[in-house]
Amino acid sequence: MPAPTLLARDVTKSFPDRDGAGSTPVLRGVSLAVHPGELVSIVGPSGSGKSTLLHCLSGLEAPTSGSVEIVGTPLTGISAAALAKLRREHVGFVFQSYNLISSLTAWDNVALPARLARRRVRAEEVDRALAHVGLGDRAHHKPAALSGGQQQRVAIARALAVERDVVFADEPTGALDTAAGAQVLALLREAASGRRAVVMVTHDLEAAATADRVLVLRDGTIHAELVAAGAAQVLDAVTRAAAQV
Amino acid sequence: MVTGTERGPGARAPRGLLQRLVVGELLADARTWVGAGVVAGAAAVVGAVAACLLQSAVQVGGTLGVALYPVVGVVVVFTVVATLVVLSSVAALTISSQQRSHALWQLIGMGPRQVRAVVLAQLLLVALTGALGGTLLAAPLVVPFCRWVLATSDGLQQVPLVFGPLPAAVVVVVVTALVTAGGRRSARAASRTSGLLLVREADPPPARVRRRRWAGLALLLAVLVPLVLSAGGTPLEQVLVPLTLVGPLLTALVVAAGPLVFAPFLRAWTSLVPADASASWFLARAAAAHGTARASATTSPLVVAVAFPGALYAVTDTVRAAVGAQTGRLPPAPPVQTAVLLIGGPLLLAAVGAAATVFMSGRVRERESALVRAAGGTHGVVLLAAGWESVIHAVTATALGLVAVVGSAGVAAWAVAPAGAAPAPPSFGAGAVAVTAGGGLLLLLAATVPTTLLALRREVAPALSAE
Repeated sequence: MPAPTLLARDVTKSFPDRDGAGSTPVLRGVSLAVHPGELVSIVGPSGSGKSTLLHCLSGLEAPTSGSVEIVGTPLTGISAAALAKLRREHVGFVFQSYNLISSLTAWDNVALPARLARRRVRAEEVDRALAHVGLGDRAHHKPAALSGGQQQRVAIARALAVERDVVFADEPTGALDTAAGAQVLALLREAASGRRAVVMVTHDLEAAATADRVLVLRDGTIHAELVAAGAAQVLDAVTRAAAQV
Repeated sequence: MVTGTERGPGARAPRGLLQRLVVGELLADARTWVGAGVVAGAAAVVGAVAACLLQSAVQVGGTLGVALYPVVGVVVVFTVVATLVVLSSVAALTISSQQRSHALWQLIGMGPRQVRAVVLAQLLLVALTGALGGTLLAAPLVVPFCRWVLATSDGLQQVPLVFGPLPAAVVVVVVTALVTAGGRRSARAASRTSGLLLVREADPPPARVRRRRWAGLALLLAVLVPLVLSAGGTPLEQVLVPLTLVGPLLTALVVAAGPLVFAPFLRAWTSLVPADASASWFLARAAAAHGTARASATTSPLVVAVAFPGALYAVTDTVRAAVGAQTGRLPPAPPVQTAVLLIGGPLLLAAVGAAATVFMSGRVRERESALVRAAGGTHGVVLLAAGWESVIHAVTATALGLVAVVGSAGVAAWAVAPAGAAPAPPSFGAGAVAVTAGGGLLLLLAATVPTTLLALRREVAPALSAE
């Protein structure tokens, strides 16, 4: 088996209480490994720590303890510049909303990582990525002129324009209608191939069931792990997790 | 909140509910509203100076009063132009930056009239608070300040200066009314905000030159052209007063044409630097062009800040040179107090307005800097982009302000030339332009860099989470 793209060991995360007197644990020792070509979805009841886990795995937030490695690079103690470089070269993001820089066209948003990496922007790569998500004809529109689904697809094009090792998607279909959500899911499913893995947090159990593996989170820990599960199995696992909270 | 009630659009919400909404949303979005309040406060300080001079002129009457009226007139014109430009821009920006809230209010059942009423009530409350604060702050300082600025004016030192409660109240009312009036069109637009903005990127549409603005442009031209023509036949010793008014009117003309001119000009000159020069330049250029195409709230005050002193010095120096050529003796330059009196207020207002608009856009800046970081941008790229954006705004405003400066200098050179002779060589107030342009840039950097640094201290994830 190839080395994991993403490796988390005993990750915990606590947030300080408002009064500063104590802290509330959100993640309680999560360990997982995601391999190249895998699509892993993370589901769980509200407040189970799904988004916090994704943020810790992707380096958007620092865990309180434990370690995370992306393509063998530990995120613990990494400098801001090194983290930025890691993101540019290996990581893509698709968020639920606010995915795009409002002043840039769809084309420029897709080309942004290359610019940030001070690489020559290859127009054909950007064009291909946009065409791949079905937005070749919307390349020069700004985000405000795109629908929510189109904005998500631009974000996916940005994540796929450069060969990245892992794409993190936080509720990528959360703000979309069924048809747009299905398009986005199909693109993410397709993206998880070769050396690229996709980790997706979702509350949509149908969406979760498209993954190779489903991690059911409960109260900050992995409660169940399902492989090639159908939506009914995922629903059952989440229901049981919710009942035990 | 209105949730839980079954109300159609236009239905009446309980009065207490709307009052709570007015205050609650003000507090929730304090950052934006504080900017508008500070600008209203600065306008009140500036208005207090004009009101003090006006009240003193009325009260003293006689020859002294008559001598003071032209000074008061010029100060009032300068102040009114700057106030209208800055307050209307800031009020409009304040409202348009809260489109998502307006969309949400409509989705939960508020009718368009209620949205408009809440927005105007918020603006009124903030303007009133700012105007009261500014007037209270100015009250003990305005008389000593006016005494200082009139100290070098022959004959005006003896004017007994007063600033009573009535002019103070008038200042509060006028500033409040101007801010509220400046936000009326935006409040109407807020009432028509689409609920779709809740699920899409909220972005104001590009500004357009509407009928009212065309009418304003025509009106300005109708005042400016006769003023310029009449200046041509005015004796040299009296020409300074009409020429002094050319600068503010030309500035108002440039600002009024802003939606047509600002963004294309910005794009044109910034395209001289290749987009690939650096990622920070690319981001800054896109952000500045995008923002300027939607609102002129940052550019307009800076244009005023550059054009007013530049035009004043250009006109004064050109007339002085002409008098010197005619009499063989160059008259002394006007004391610094004169410049402070005439343009200090507008400069203060313009500077506060420009800085406030940049500060108010902090939330968008925070989110977009988080996006850049998520895409692999370093802190340096984000910080540099903020710096470049300030430079782009400052250079754009300086170049546009120079239109009014050069225009004023040209008119002055033409007006002071003897009949049938070639125009006199104009002066361009380069020193004043350089000082205010540099000051404007520093101010923008002071408003941008600390907020960017603060944004960089936040983790990426919370900045990108849905509101």
